Amino acid sequence: MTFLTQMKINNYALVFLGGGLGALTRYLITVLTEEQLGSAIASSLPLYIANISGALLLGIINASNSEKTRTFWGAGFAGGYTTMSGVALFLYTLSPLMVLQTATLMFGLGFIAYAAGSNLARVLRKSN
Amino acid sequence: MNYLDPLLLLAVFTAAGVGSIFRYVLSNWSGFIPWGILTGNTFASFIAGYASVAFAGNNELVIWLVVGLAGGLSTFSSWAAATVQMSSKGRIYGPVLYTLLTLVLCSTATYIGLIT
Repeated sequence: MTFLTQMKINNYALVFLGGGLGALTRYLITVLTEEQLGSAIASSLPLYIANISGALLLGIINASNSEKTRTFWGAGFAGGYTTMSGVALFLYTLSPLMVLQTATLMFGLGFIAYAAGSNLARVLRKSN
Repeated sequence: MNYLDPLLLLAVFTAAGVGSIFRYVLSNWSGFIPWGILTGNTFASFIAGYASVAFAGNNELVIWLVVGLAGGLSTFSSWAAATVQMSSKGRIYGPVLYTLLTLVLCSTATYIGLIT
């Protein structure tokens, strides 16, 4: 029983560290984008970068056999790195037509990215 | 303000870590669709909307709550994972309902946050 509790605590720690690191990465991408390209672009581009690459990453990670890897990189990093609240907030700065376009593009690309990551992991595993 | 202030970075890291733990616990609640993640995303959207108006003059606080706490609590990758997995099993209503509910609940929650 003791070691089970211990493992639970370890998983929470992994999620905390991974999630913190993921959100920090997204924040640094936002700051860098704003510095280089201006705040208008920084309100949308980092959201696309983080959410699409995060979905791709999770597709690859979820194929891992290691629970610790999936917890840290999946539930932790990919979860903290990607954001839904950021998307919801961003939609309020757009015109109704752009809302529809942005939502379709974001969700469509996210779906494709996860499926691509998932398939990539399968191909890599077969070749090993 | 200095956007790369080490204290601010640490604050974002910590808040996102805490938000992620809440999301991790919530993710256990799953049935026809991942109800727990949907709840986390909805609540995070409210926090993001509320914080960006209520603390509009205080950039550090807004970043801490919106990028850190709400960003850690909410997730996009897990939406992608669930919809792809449901679709690959031939389910149609699950991913469609999940996507529509995510869009409607998150934007409504943000709106309520913005006007509260």
